[in-house]
Formats: sequence, C-alpha cells, structure tokens
Amino acid sequence: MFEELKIRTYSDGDEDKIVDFFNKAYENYAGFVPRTIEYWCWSIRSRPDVNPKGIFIAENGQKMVGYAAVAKSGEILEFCYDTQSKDAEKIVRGLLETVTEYVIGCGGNSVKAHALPTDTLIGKVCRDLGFSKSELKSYFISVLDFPQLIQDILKSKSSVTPFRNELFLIELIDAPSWSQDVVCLQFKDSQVFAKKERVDDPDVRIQMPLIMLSEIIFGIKKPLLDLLLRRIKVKPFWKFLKAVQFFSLLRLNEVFFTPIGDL
Amino acid sequence: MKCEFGLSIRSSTKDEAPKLIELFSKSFEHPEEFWRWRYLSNPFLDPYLVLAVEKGGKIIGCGYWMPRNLKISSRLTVSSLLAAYVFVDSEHRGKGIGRALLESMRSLRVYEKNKSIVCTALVQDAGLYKDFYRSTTKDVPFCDSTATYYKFLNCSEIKKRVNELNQKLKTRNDLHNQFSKLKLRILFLLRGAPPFVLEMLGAKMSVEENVDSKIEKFHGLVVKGDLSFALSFIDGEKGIGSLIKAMFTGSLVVKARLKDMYAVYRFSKLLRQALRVT
Repeated sequence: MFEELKIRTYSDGDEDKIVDFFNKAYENYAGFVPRTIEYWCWSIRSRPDVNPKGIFIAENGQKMVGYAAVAKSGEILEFCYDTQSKDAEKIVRGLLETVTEYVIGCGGNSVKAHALPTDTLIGKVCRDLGFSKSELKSYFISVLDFPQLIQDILKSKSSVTPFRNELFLIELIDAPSWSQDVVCLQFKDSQVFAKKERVDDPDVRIQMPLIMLSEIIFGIKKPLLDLLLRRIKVKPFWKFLKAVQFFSLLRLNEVFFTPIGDL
Repeated sequence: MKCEFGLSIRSSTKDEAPKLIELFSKSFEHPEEFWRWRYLSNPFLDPYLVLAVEKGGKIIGCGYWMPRNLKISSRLTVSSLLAAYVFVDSEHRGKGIGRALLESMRSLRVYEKNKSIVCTALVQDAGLYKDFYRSTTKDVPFCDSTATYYKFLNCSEIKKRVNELNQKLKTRNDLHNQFSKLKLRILFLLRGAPPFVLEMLGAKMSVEENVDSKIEKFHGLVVKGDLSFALSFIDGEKGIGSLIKAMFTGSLVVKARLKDMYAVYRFSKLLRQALRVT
C-alpha cells in the first residue's frame, strides 16, 4: 500500500541493501559497472560533496523501493526505483521532490538527474516537475584491442555463428600507429580465434576505416550503405553477403547507461 | 616515452601524489579535498594508469585512467579503462600535450597491464569531441546515451554563462561595433528555469531575474520553450535555422515583431561568429 511509503536518509548499515538494490536495477544494461560495497562506500559515501543527509532511501514497509544519492551541487549521482511497484510514479516523484528540497537547503543552483533514455516514467515525472531534457550525447568509447573485442563478442553470440572453417581478414586502413591495422579471424567448428597477424590468402578480405568498425560494433552505423558505396571493400566481391552477416553478428544493440557517480 | 616537445611521458608513482593534487586543483573547479578523495583515498587507483608529463623535472600535465569491468551487452562484460581526467598546466596548453597524453596511454600499452580492451570517456563539449577525441583516439559515441534532466532553481548558472560570453565578446574588437548596434530585450519563459530577461545593450549582455512573467506587460521579444534549447542557442551551438525549425515544430514559441526577429537573426549570426574563433 502506498500509505506506507516513507523516504528517509541513509544510516550506517544500509550499504548492502543499497548496493544490492542498485545492482538489480541496472544489471541488465550495457555501460553498467557492477557495484561492490567497497566501491559504493568510496564512490558515494566518502565522496566529499556528498553528505549522508543527501542519500535518500524510499521504503514501503521494510522493503526498499527507491534510492537516490545527490551531491551538494544538485547532481543526482545515483537514482533507482522499483519499476514493478504499482506506486512507481509516486516513488519517483517523492524522491525527486525530496532531492530538490535538499538541494535548495544546501544553497544549490540546479538539480540534475540522469536516467535511462527508455525510462518513460522518469521522463514523465521530470516533465511534470518542470525539468528540461538534454539530448547531448557525452559518453564515448574507443577500442584498445580490436582482435580481443571481436573474439569476445563473437564468443558471446557463439550459438548463432553461421561461418564454418572460414578465414576473415579485416584491414583497418586509417589505423593510428598505436592500434592494430589488421584483425584475422579464423572460424573453425563453431569456434572463433582472433589474431593480430596478417594472412596471405583469406577467404574474405574486408578493407574499412577503423572508426567505421567501432561505429558498427557499437550500433551507431549500419554497414549496408557503406558496403554498397564501397567505403567498405570486400574481396572477392561475391562474398559480400558473408560480410553483411559478419557485421550483423558483431553489432551490439544494447542501450548504454552509465550512472554519473561512476565518472 | 620522449616526445617531440622535449617532454617525457611516463607512469606516475605514489610519491608524486602531492604534486599531482596541486595540478588537479589548479586545473579544475573542484577543491583540493575532492582530489585527495579521488586520488589518495581511492582504493581502485593504480598509479601505473596515471601518466605524468614532465619537463625539466617539473610535472606539467597528467592523464588519469581508472580500470573497471564494463558491461557492453547483456551477455558480455569486458575489462575497460575510464578516461577520468586529462589536464595540462595552463602555461603549456595549445601545444599538443593533451593529444600526446592520450596517444601515449595507447602507445605505451599502459592498458595491457589490466588487459583492457575498450576505453570510455565523458566529454561534455561536443566540439572538443569532434576536433580532438574523434581524430586522436578514434572515439565514437555510445549507441544511445543516458538522458539528462535538469532544472535551474535560480538564474546563477545562466548568469555565469552570460558572463563568460561577455568576456569572450570583449576579446573580439572586430565585432564590438556590430554588437554595440544591437539592442535586444528577450523574456524567456522556459521549462527548467525561472523566468528571466536577457538584455543586449552596448555590446554587453545581462540577465535580470525575478521578473514578471506576464507576457502582456512585457515590451520586447518573448520566447517560450525548453531550457536546453535556449542554452544551446545562447552558447552558439544552434543558429537561426534551428530556431526557425523549433518554431515550426512548436517546441519553441516566439512572440515578436518582424523587426525584433531580424535583430535576433543578427545577434545569432554575430554570436556564432564570435564563438567560432575564441
């Protein structure tokens, strides 16, 4: 019942409940770094701009149904709630209103919340409370080890590998000096092995800019147009469909979410 | 690693912490206490992942990465590095030292110790990403980023931005005359901020808060819409084209006479011109 919803501030001993609740809320999202109690105590509890009075817990009876940690500046570092609860909207509203009151009390100039772009409830409540939404994309990723990353992605999708006994060579045409400029992939009996060495007679040779490979992996770009316009070259050309299959296997489609407290 | 500027770039040691904290405090807004927490009290910090740039025995720059296990899909977690801070002493900026630091982390294969295969970064300046990160480290934006919602409780942040803009405008003598001819008074009624009036007079912008939000009583231009759009307009990120588009889509409502609209057009053009060079 909603009547039991209470919002209180953090007290010693809440750490394991908070970490468990936060991990469960975000464990399925890409971009998330799983929490440990030690990490939470350092990143939130002992953060100089976070006061224990700025860590809020929403409870329905004994059950934790919401949590927010806010810096004195008004930046909400961590925020999560029980999405399955009938009172989800009231929990979100209650937490955001409490946080705003706290920030006003601290003399802060603004309140800033970060949420999953797919979380329409937070979007709705924020709109109702007069928040503005920023579309700015500020998180970026670069690949340090392409062969290892490609091998790990393909292994995580191993059940659907369509290639048998085939050798792929990817040549990255504008690779900077510190990066590998070739990735060799040997598919054998539903397994994949990545190497950084060049091979002379691959079954499929793909030539493409390095940044385009990153964009395809992280779901920013679809490769079809670039293949047709020969920005990605496939040799021999009749293996074009193999390249399309390969890129669709590599693509990560998940929504990234990075709690601001991690940064 | 010796680089072309006669500098050496290497991993730091724990003993160098005080020097680095001093540099951190000088380069960023956060107080020294913040850096002590971030650096000295951080159980996850590896000094090997803190690169120091040295010139004549003096540390003039630093790049700081944090190791973490990052989920990149529901089934895959990889070892990664977060580019926490990259900074260069103000006297040595603009000489390519930041670029050298980012490249050194990769060239020295610092990441191999942690077997990291990706590196993530938070870059709030879109221009910095395009001009610097995309070309240097080949960073790409995440598939879909975190949504940010914000609300200004007063006009302090807007005033701060406008003051920064005034400072920038002062340095543009070539545009000063054109700016001084502009006379604009705009009432902003925005979601995410209290009502305020932005005035451009004598080549200087000022913000007036606690204003009457009654449109009928206001003589001048009235803009109703969203704070994020208005800020990107004031910051020069969006021009008159975006303004017109927003008006057609209804995300922005402007009440003005044609003469005022022309003044806004000129203001936007000059603002973008002024910000492009600085």
